[in-house]
Amino acid sequence: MSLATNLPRVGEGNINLVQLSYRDYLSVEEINAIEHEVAILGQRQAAGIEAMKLVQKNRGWISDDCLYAVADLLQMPASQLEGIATFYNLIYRQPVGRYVIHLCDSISCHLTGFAQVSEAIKEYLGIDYGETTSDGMFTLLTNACLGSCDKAPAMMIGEDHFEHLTPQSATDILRQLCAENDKDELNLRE
Amino acid sequence: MDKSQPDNPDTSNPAAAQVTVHIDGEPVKLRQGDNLLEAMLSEKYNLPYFCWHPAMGSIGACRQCAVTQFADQEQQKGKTIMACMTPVSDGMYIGLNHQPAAEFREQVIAAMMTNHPHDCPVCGEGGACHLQDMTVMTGHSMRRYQGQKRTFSNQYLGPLINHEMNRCITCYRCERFYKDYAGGNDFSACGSKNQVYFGRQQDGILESEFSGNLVEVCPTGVFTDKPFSAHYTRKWDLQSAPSVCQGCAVGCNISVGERYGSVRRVVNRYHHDINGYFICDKGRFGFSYVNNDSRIETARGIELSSEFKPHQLAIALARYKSADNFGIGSERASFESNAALKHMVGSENFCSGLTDYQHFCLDIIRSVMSAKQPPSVNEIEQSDCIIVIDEDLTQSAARIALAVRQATRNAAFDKAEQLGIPRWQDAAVRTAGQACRSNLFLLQSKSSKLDDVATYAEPLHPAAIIKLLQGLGNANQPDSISDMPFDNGLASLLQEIKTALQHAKRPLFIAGCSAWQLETLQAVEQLALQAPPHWQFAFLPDAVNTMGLASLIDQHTMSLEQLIAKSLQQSTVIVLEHSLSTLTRAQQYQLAEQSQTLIVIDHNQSLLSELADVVLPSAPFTESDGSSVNYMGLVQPFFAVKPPNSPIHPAWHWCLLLDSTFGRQNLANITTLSQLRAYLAEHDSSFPDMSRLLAEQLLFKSARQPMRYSGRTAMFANQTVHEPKSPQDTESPFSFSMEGAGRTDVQGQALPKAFSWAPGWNSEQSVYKYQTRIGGRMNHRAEAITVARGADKNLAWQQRKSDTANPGVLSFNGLLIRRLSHLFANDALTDDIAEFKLLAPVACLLVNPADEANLAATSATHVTLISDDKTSMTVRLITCDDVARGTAYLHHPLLNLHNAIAQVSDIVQASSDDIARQQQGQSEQLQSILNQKSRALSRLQKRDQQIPIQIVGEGR
Repeated sequence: MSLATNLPRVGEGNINLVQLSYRDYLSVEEINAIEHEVAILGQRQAAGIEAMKLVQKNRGWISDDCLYAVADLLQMPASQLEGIATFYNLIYRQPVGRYVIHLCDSISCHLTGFAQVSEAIKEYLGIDYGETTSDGMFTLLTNACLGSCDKAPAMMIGEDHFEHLTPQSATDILRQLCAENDKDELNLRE
Repeated sequence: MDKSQPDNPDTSNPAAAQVTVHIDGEPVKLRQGDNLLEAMLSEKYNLPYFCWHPAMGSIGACRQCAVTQFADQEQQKGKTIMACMTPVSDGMYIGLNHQPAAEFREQVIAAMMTNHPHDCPVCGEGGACHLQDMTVMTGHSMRRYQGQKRTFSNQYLGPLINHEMNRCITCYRCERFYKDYAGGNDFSACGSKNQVYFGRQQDGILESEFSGNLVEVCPTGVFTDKPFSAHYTRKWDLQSAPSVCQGCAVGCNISVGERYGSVRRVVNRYHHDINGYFICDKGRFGFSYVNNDSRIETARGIELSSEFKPHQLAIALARYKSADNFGIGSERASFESNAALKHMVGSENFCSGLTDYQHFCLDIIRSVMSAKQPPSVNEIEQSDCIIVIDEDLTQSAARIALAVRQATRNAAFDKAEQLGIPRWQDAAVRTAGQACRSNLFLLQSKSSKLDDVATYAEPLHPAAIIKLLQGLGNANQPDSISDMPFDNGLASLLQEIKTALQHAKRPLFIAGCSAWQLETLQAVEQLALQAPPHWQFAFLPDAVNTMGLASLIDQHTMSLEQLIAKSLQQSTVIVLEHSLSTLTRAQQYQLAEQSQTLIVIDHNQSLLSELADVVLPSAPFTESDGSSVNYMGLVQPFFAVKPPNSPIHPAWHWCLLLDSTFGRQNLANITTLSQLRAYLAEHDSSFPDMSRLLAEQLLFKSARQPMRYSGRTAMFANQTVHEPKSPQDTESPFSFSMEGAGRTDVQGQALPKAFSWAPGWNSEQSVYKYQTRIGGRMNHRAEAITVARGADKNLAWQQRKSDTANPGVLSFNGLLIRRLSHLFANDALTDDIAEFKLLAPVACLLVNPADEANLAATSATHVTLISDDKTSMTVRLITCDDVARGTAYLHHPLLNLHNAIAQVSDIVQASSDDIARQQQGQSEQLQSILNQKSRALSRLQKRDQQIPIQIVGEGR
């Protein structure tokens, strides 16, 4: 919305008139990647999901400033983009850990031991749903259905699906991810 | 406008056939192609719904309007269908009270109630809640759910709207209204599943001019009226009266609610041709000056007891008797008040209260109106090509802007129709329509909130707009338009508009007076007078009753300048509900000093009332009966919601009372409004016969108070144990009590309602019970009376036209500086409302970046405007390219008090002292507004304990 149609109001006090520009916030690579999506989709606003996924890949999550910058780039109202961001559960509007665990809690998983798996993960990580471990490694979320009802219980971490979970296998996977992460860091240091 | 005229082809299928549908075994005639919900409601069935809205169509989201459809008369089981998504077809068998469907509807409510809080006793919606009504209607009377309820944080949405998201039932109507219908873009649905949140991206003032409609659109208490909630009364305790919004010339119909002597709220009152289901925020919240500290409640300058007799007034005023008496009328005073004043002082001594400049504008409007009947708001919505000329409709006549926005959807509706999609299939029509829009050309110098749906919205210099209009007039001549400086591509724009006009079936031009650009109006006039018959023209005058005042203007009527130029030493000047804010401060003083006696009749204080010798307290629209004439020339009566407390009288009544002292004694025997109207109709050719508007209805009164109005006999118990007689109202079709004649008169003709209510329907949704059909006219007799078109001209000012400078704009260094039009800062009366002060823009000057150098050094943040009399205004300098080059827009609160822009002699860069002072002033101002708000509230609450016992004399 332009400034002339949305003037600062008396009730808002002495507010600053500076508006956030996407150029100040997004990197050139991000802008180019988003413009590429726009070119494919035709309508700028249609690129909202892809744009946020791209930015999230670089930054881990979509902060308010990210949201405003992307909305500015796509020439759409921030509120509309917020509607999209909060609708999709793979767009994170809060800081998340390095690994986001989407544990499926749909009916098939419930029938095949979801409760025990869920308990084991919570106990192993020491966190509840919606929380992140203090070392910033894991965030635990539920997921409505991962489409693995025939291989339930299931969870998704990053782009990997893990199926036929047991309390043991679930914690093993997390342990393994920790170990890999440690190795990565070691490599990085060397 | 005539009653006999058939309903507009506004909703689907104008020529739809009536077909027979069997509902619970009864054959009923319904319109083919309507959705079943709409059709059944049109037949006054009680069928619960949430997500459907008569103006917004169906989306089938809430599953509440389930009914059973049977294959034939014999079938027992049938299938459950959603009535709102099912088109009516011939020979349908529908089970409304069929057990499975009824149970389904009850279970939908049960599911909603798992999250809906049980806070009805503290909810502002309680007692007028669609959700409550539907819950009762479906028979869901027990809550079995024991689990946790979902909770949300609420947002601050500004001073007008409360937010309580926990009550949400996710019907999506708020988002569909705010975003899809009204074009707001700071509101959306967030989240998914059981966690859907409706609100802004972050806390802040809702930007849309129509945010108040959320209060009525929301079926429950998520969005409630904030000022009303602060000083609250249940709907069943509100005394109501039908009224007409005084905010602008559109004349939207409203219903005003009162309790304990103070006006509490305004809601939309459905009018098929004008406001339909929606009003703007100025209309909904712009009434509260009637409760303000600034109300004049006693006479000043004379000794007058509150229960005075007419002869006592004459004695008190005797010393002011003078040789000559002049009356100044007003655009905001009622039609009757202006006419009474004119007849009191005589037409030779009547001044319109308009400046020369306003007279010129009005002259053009009337000339266009006599050639072209302005379309109603409903008709505006039917236009397929609209050209808005130099007027920000969203700020000066917001309801029209909303209609224009709907009109741009006509192309999408046509496309949907071709695809066989019914008009009421909202989601499908929007998907099919996408960016397909009817033409809307915004020829404006500053961008507006309609730009997003416009074909063309680039800011143009006013001179370029005039060029374009002249170009449009020369339909047959080759385009000779040359490009203006700063505005390239005018020729191609002209061609584009011409092509659009050629293809349009119902093209419409809309112009207004807020831009103070006479040349533009003249160009529109020329265009209108030679336009093809199917081109429509709508002109928007300044104020609520400008057209009523205009029809009283004859060849003797003076402008303000003409009156001031007279020698008034021996004269009494009577000013009727006018603060003369169109004059400069110097002119206001001049008038006060020159005249022997200045009598101001007004309801709120102004600079002028401070200067007056005598101030007489008049009743605002909430306390007096009267009528106003809207931009179409339609005479609309409004009714007092409470009688005024003596010595407050309606302005027309003061005119009658003053007649013996200052008048020509023609009005001597008149004491009531109907007598006055009869007299005026007989003696003034410009005053219409309004008897048929009211005569029959006066016999069969409707109640102003609902049946559950509590405390009728105990309200005054802390003051007196005697129950006062309820005020008598012999002049309107409404009584100040719970007693009414019922729904119909003896002939079975429906009676008008003071408020919308029907058994089982406590919310405003009940209006459907009183419509001929959904979206149609109201079923009570509604005579449409219009004022005469065409005009006598005042030749004296006609001759002065050419050499009068435009006082409303300022030329500075080649820059045309205009007043900024803003919904919440348009006039002195509503400027006094605390909420509007908060919503008004900060004092500022808007310029194009290219013009910045003409005013101050680059990157200056403020400029100071210096006046002739060495006063100054420091304003924030805002540069943006949404303003045309060569033009600038100024906003300062002073501009609404007097014509400060006419006195500006220089503009300089603000000194640091000026800026510091301005910012200091701004913070102090904010604090004082908040103090004013809390002070006003505690004063009103205190007054609730001491209700004035309304003694109604003969004076009403």
